[in-house]
Amino acid sequence: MQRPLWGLDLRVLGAVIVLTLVGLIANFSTSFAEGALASAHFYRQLIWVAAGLVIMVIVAAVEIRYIQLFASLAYGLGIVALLAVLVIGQTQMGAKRWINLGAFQLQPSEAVKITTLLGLARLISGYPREAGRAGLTFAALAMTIVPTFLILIEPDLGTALVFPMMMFCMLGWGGVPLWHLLLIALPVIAVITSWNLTLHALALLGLLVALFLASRRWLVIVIATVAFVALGAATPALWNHLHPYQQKRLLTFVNPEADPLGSAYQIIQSKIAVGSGGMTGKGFLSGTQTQLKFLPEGHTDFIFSAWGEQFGFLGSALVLLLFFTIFYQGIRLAARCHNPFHSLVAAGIVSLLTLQVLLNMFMTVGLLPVTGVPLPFISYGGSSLLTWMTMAGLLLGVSMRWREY
Amino acid sequence: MSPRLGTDAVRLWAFRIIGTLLFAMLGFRLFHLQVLHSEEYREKADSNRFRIIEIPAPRGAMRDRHNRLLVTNRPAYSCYGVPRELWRDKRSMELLEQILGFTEGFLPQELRPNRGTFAPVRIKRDLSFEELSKFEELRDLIPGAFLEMEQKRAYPDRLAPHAIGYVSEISKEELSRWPGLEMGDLVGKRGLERLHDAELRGRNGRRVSVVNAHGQEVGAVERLRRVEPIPGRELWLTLDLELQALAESLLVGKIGAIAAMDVRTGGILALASAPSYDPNIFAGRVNVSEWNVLLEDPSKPMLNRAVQTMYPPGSTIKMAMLLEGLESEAVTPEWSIHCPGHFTFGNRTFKCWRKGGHGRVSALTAIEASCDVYFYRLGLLIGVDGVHRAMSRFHLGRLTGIDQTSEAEGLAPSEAYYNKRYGPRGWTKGFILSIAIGQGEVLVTPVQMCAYAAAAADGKVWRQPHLVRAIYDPVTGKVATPPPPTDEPLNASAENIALIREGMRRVVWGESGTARGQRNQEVHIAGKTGTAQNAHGDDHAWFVGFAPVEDPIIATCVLVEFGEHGSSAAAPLSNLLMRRYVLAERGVEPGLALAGDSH
Repeated sequence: MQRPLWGLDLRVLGAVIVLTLVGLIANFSTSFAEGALASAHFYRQLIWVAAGLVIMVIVAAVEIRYIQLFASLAYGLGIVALLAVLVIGQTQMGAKRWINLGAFQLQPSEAVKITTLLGLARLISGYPREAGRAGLTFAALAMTIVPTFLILIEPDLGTALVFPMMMFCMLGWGGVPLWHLLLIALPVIAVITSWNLTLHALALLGLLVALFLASRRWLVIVIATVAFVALGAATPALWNHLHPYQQKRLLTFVNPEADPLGSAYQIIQSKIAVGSGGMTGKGFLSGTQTQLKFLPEGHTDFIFSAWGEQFGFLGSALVLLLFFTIFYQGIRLAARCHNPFHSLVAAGIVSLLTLQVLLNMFMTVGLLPVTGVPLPFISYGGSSLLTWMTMAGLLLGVSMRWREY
Repeated sequence: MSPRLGTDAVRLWAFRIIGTLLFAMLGFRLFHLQVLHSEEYREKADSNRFRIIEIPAPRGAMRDRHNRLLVTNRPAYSCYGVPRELWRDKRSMELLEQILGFTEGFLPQELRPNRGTFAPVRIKRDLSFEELSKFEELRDLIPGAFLEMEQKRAYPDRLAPHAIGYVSEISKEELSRWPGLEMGDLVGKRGLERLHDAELRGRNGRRVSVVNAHGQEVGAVERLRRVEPIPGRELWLTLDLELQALAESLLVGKIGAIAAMDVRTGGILALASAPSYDPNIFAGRVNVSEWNVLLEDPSKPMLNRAVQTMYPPGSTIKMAMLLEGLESEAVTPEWSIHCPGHFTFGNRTFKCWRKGGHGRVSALTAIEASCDVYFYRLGLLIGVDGVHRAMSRFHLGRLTGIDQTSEAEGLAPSEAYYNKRYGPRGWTKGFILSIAIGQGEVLVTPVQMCAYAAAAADGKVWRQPHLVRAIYDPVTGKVATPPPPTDEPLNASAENIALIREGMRRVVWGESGTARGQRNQEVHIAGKTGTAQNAHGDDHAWFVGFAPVEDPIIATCVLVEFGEHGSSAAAPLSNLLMRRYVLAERGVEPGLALAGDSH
């Protein structure tokens, strides 16, 4: 306490700063593509980076005890913000995701990542260790389903998906029994394998064996079996509830050549951009895919492709290494924290970051469908950048206070 | 117990291992794309940004014997579209349809197969001025379309459409037969355009420009990659522009054909067929309705009657018959017959064209007065194979090999032919009577008859008619001569040849000549009239001739379908042509000479 900077993780700090620089360079190049900085999105990003650095420092300085105190409140405010979007939000391209604040547009679903994370950390850390963990799992599920659902109906499938994944990681880190996690994963596995009956049956079998070994409860086995089969059967109906563009994205992912104009076009052009970068890249502002606008969404979802085209494998590996540094250091930090809330916050941030980075980057290299998840610290967008700078501040704050109880 | 969470080593390592594996996977994937397969993706990126536009090579011109232009090119604008870009913006597609006058839904249908590609597709050739100005006005609304200047065929005097032929877009079937060509290329379809397509075509060039994702050109950065087109070679023809124009004007309102030939070389001076058509119909894009009108016209204006249509030659064949009779010594010049106006063979009576008969007729008078009875008798003496030999000597009923497409062969019947057609006992010697006077199954083309007249005029050699005298390469400046025509000696004695030529002279200058009306003192012509019996209507009129009699330089053949009499319908046209040509060769103004003596 006497020396709060003691333990400040310089590697994380360095990685964050370099990543925001990477983001600025990439944004400059995509902004430049639109004609001599005509769209000026680079300048806005510059402002947000500056604001973000300030916020990061402030957040890092705040005692985490206070944050813990207000975590539940923050969670509640997040839900209110999501409801507000649905009521007074701006509709753009068929989705209601933004609240207009005059000069800026706020995307609350980004900030809600923090509030939900804090809420979950508070819940899990505060749950009596002696009590059965079933109640904790149910409570975490309930806390997560609310924002997930509200974002899903905006609709914003990509962002919504991140929440249950984050919850899954945090519950895992928080120490719920393995069979709880297996049960949570069950619907996902049931839906994904429902296309093929053999696969479906094999997945069920494997899951049941694992569940039995982990829980030794017959009731769990029976419930799991019923739920698995029912979900498998209900998936076609579920499918019909998806938006046509979401269906298309998923179908396109299975067979990208089927629709070379739509979302497959984005994946194809992104792969071309990344692949054509080669070992050392085409050079700053010399990426043809980026500069000639063959790369769609070059400053948001596919900004990594723009980077990869210009700076090649070496540049891509650098970004990968920076994110990996945060992941590695973050997990280490979470593991040595004395305070469970601190530990869960760190683990949550690292999980969320890693999830988003992987979802985005796997998409740009054609290994995942176009989900619309931005790349932390790098993609254009104030809401996303400020959210991640806050996260970085939290992580750094935790790193300075890992000895606190 | 420590209150810390997550120190459970299993969980810590589970997080670490799973996370590290996922990062490693990503790294591997990046290595795969950016290092192992980067070349492949670099090519794809290049094919995105480089637009390759063909620069069509100017097609070779065609010139007449004095190097005056018959066919040339002039600039025309084509509209191209980038399928992906147009497809993405349905409204621009509709707008383009309106500008170019397509029906709604035409473009989506045309572009559907290529809708994902950036490679431009030619949407319409040869835009009209109105279409061009509308396009220029609205081009900002249609970023996926652009104009390219190309060349189209131009015919300054619209002459000789049949001989020249035409070009149009390559068909699928031709595409598979001719390597190195692409969809949308223009190729010769008929006539000289077809025969000399490879020389005329040249080689297309290429222009490479850089385009953005909207298909807009952002610069022709790749100057080095530009490949200049190689212009096609020129065809230098033997045609005489003025004579061709005269021949065509003489046939206006008629159905028929004219061929004129340089006696000394075999070069075709004029080759006309009527009814005719305006070659400009094919110059740019083919107007479907005009094309259908041409195809469905019962008088078949697309047909080159001079080369592609066969007719019985009528009395014009008689010189060939007489020459065979003399050469085979079946008759002598002095041998004579009595013509009472008819000839009885077996139980049938064959008429002479002159009811009252010709009286005593020998070789010269038989030609001069065109006595049929003389040739009935002569035919019986030389036999069917004699008729065949007589015709073959002059390439009648045989392909001449003229440099034109779809030449008709005709028919020079022989005993073998009749045996095959009717069986060995199915025909009688009586058949010979009609073919000996050029009726019945004998079939020839006007160009064959022209070469026949030229051979008679020359006296020594049958010359293969041809239209191309040289092929000029504008790149190297070299003039190549086509393979020499296959000329053949006539194998006839000079006296016999002199006799039939004298007969032809007397057709015009003798007191009972059938073309006495064509006498003029400036240019002495010789020839032979003919009337081909026609089962479908009035007889066809023939005239074959040459001029000047003293030293022939031009031979002509005129055929007028349903013209009835060679002497009135065909001979005057022939006379006009030959007189005009000979006078022009002598340097005399032909217009003045014409006025004086038209009988």
